[in-house]
Amino acid sequence: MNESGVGSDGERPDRRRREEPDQHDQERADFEAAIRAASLSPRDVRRLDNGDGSSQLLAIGEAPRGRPGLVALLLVLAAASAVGFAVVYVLGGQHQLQGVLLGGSLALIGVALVAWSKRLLPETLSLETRPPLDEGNHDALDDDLARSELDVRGRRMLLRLLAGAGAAVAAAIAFPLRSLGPDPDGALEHTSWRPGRRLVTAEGAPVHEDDIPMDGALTVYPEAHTDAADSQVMLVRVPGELLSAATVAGGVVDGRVAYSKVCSHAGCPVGQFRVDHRSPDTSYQLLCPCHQSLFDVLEGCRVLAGPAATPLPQLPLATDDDGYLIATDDFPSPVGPSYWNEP
Amino acid sequence: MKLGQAVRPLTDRLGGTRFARVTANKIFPRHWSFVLGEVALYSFLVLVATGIYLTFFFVPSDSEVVYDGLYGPLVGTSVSEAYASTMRLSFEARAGLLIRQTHHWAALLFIGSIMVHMARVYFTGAFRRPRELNWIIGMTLLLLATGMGFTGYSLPGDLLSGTGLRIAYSVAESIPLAGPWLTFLIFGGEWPVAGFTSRLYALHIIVLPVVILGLLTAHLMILWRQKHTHMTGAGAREHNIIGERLWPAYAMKAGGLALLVSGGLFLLGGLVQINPVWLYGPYDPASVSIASQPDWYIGFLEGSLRLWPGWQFDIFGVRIAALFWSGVVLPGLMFTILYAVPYLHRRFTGDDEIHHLAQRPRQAPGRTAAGAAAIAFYLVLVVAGGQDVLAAHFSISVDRLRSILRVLVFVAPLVTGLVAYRLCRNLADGASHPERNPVGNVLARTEDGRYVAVHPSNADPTAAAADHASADRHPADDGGSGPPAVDADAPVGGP
Repeated sequence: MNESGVGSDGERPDRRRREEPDQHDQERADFEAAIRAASLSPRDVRRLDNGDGSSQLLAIGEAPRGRPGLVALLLVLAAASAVGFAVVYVLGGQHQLQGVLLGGSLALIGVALVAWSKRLLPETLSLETRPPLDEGNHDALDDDLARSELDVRGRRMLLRLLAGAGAAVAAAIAFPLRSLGPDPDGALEHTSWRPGRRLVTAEGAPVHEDDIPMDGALTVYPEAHTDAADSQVMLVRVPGELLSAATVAGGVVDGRVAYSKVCSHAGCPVGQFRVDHRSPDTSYQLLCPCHQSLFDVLEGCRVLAGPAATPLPQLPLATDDDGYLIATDDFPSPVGPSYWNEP
Repeated sequence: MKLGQAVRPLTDRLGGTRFARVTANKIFPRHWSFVLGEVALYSFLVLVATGIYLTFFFVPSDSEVVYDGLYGPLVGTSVSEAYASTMRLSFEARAGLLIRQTHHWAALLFIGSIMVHMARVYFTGAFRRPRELNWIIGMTLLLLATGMGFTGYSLPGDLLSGTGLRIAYSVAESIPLAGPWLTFLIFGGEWPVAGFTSRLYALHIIVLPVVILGLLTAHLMILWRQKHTHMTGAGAREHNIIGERLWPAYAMKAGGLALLVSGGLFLLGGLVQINPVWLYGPYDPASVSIASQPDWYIGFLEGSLRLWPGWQFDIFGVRIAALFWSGVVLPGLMFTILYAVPYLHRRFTGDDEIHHLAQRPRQAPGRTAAGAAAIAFYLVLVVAGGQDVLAAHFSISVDRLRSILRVLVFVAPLVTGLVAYRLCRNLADGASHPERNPVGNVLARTEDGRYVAVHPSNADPTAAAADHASADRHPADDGGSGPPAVDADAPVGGP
């Protein structure tokens, strides 16, 4: 093994790092093992001065036999691809082609650089001893810091006041954060439904009791509040005799029953109405497309399956003198996901 | 003129040649797994570059406008200005869609490469003393990157992103004692809140990127100071580092990788559609598409929400919603355990030594088993996040699939952990250790040009070839006193 270079400036004893005398022997032995394991046949092994007082061993492999032709070709292709991108852009642009040409030019330079380093540069291997992470000047640091500190240390009262004033300012600047949002103040407990308010479609058209066919479903809002997201309701029509007594007591109009469309799990719109007429039990269900909570329309939208914990609140219905559907009250309980002080 | 001389006008005024020398001589380990973190870094650079371009087009406003752009099916629809500007940027700005899709792909790769990088650090024990701090910074970067992703895909005001925000709103609401107030502070009122997009935008383009940039800098500076770990191998010790110095070959390869990553992302951005907001349509609180799926890195949260049973109860008059357990407690617990990995490791092994030599996973079977179990747990949650899509694909009912997954979320980690543990023990004890017992024969060339096959477990091929040469010496070859010529490509045997 050719060890030219070893013994130049790197061998000089270093004051800052205090390298042990046999450290270099150990390094050389480890390095030879590593070189063998890496299948490197070095033509040159030397010690490099890092410039910070430490040194490292560097082995340089055989001169590579690769030719620059491939790298040159890749770089020419990359340039051509980049020019092509500009041309496509100027000619009006084409999305896929632009992606291929821009991505291609970048990737081609990338491949060229990797090929350059792998085929045109000799393989190298380096080894250095890690310096200790802790230089251990703690006492000297304390001495330095203590030099002019005599007065500070004596002022315990002032130091406490400084900490107190800092804490007060920190607390004071938290107050503007309060302006970020209003107090909930019962906003979550109520919707825009009021006794006597008509059910209307998203377009604002009032819903007549005959507007909804058997097995049909419709998203409705309180009249004049079609932008109230918390008031969206799934109005469905099922055979009235299938509804449970409690559901009927909750306010239905001959099989027309309305539930909050805001899922009691995570607030998604429960928009999938599933009707299954196969015997023995005809089923009417609402399914939330987000997390697949399943609710039984016939029994007050109790949870049949999935992650929801509570039923969808039922909107009490009636008809007005013209046969249009109206709500007789707000929902009996808050809509949407549970929160801690829910009434 | 050489580079060292060319920088003289700068070094006259600033100095820095010592720093440049130390930098050029920095030794990088040669194992492939060390580039995973680099991929994350380069994805981040692509994110910043493409992101700046996007800010010149995007309007972070929830004001309603009537869409009248080039995409026919939506003309006349009432959409938010954010949505309209996203559409304009996608359809009317030449190359705008390319930059937008590349940005989205880069976000997916950014978070993915962070996770795989983290797995590498975990399974090789590279989080051990003295690198605990960088583990914690890395974990924070993962959280912030996830936040970046979520705030980013929530910006366009499309149906999918609005649904995601609605769920996040509900999760915030479920926090005991503070929930409703906290939710109103974060979102600015009751859902849907006009004006929330500008808050998201500030988070996405200023707050989160600045914090990420700061922590990324700290991450790299600490890495520079502590140097990389390196893999076990001949000559590798706790107190040294073996690898390739930065200049010139490694720098060239790293630059090449950066260009390959960005090139690959632009290819994806051009060829593979992502987040087609025009197909989702604008957000409407009363609508949601079936088979709605978040970006993959949110999938585990989605899965947690879907699998957790509807348990709800009151403690001292405080209602604990099911969503609190699945949306806050479980992910909180997962990240707390991940943050505590260096501490837990020290606790269980009693090992508080400084380590620079990376371990192979088999060298720490317990740790590897725990990591494998954690990955299995995570993957079951990700799969659960797509249970509706999978159920439709495999034609089984969602309810049945959910029941299976609820069992699997416990069984899969257990089985995976046990299998990983057994594999580690077998690899470490048995004959299949690739370092201790290399497979196959080594072909060695004798001095007189003949080849002999030597089983690597028997001896060092150098010595074997020498023995062979001396025992069976060719009559014409009598001056063979020097070391035998051995093909340098022969692998080294022995322990």
